[in-house]
Amino acid sequence: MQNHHALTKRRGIVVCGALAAGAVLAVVLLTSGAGSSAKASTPTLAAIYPALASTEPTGLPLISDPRSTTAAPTGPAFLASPPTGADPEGWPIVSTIRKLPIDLPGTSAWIAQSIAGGICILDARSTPVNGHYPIGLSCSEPGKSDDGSTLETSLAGSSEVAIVGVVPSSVSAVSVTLSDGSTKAVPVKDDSWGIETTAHLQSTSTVTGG
Amino acid sequence: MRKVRKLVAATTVAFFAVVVTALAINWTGSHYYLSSGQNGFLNRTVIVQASFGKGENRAVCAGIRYYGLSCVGRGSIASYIEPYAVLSEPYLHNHDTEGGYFVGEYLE
Repeated sequence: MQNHHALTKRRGIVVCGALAAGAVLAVVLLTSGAGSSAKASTPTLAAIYPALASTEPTGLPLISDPRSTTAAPTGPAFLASPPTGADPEGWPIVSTIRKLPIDLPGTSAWIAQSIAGGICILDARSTPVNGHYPIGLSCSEPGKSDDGSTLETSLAGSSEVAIVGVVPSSVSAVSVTLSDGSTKAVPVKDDSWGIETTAHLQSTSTVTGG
Repeated sequence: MRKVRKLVAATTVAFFAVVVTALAINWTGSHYYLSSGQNGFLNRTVIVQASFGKGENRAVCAGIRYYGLSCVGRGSIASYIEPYAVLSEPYLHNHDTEGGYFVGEYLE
């Protein structure tokens, strides 16, 4: 009988230990993104998108305490670590964020690798909305990172639309069809392209080679 | 024996509490239908740091009301992030030419 109790107690302790370890592991993986970043940090994506290897400063400050009320946003910023619960497929590895040379008067953009291994594009406007500088973000599915990623953002109360995208280095231009029926040929520079317009994006097609 | 059972129960509750709080808040459920061009709102004000949207093979926009929105093509996740959380309402917009089903989440 005593042996039975000792065995049950030992089993209970093992179950508790496994649950506790599982909880700790879940929190660590969800907050750091480390679980899938090991898989994601293969050199393949940087070979497709050389912009990921840029050494230019990002110009995107990282904030570690988004709940702080003393710090007021003075320009676009991003979170130093993924918020708890962020989808690895839709969130960038912060250390891979690189500035893109998109020449638009009111929009800045960045490229990054997603935690799950896809390709992401981020953008921000130079004009605040209600005192804030929201960040738009689009990440491709990991298996479709060769297709690039496109992002369209609009600010509340403004008719201006920013459309930005990242494409593999083999692409030299992007043909953009807008909701007003017009089509624009947009040159690609360092894997990226962008336009500011008042129409919405309908479709894109890429032109490869120089 | 009773102590061990209590310990297992408490640890199990703590485990699921941790896992549940570690998830984004899904406000649409899994079969949230929007017609082409239609918006879908949470319909209450919350502290929101990020709004996420994904369509079932549909282009989608994820927005934060009174701030803006970001739109993506089929297969991608749209995210609109306020690095400094705001008091507002997450919403989705069907950016596709066809009606379809969407999933919306937000982070507090």
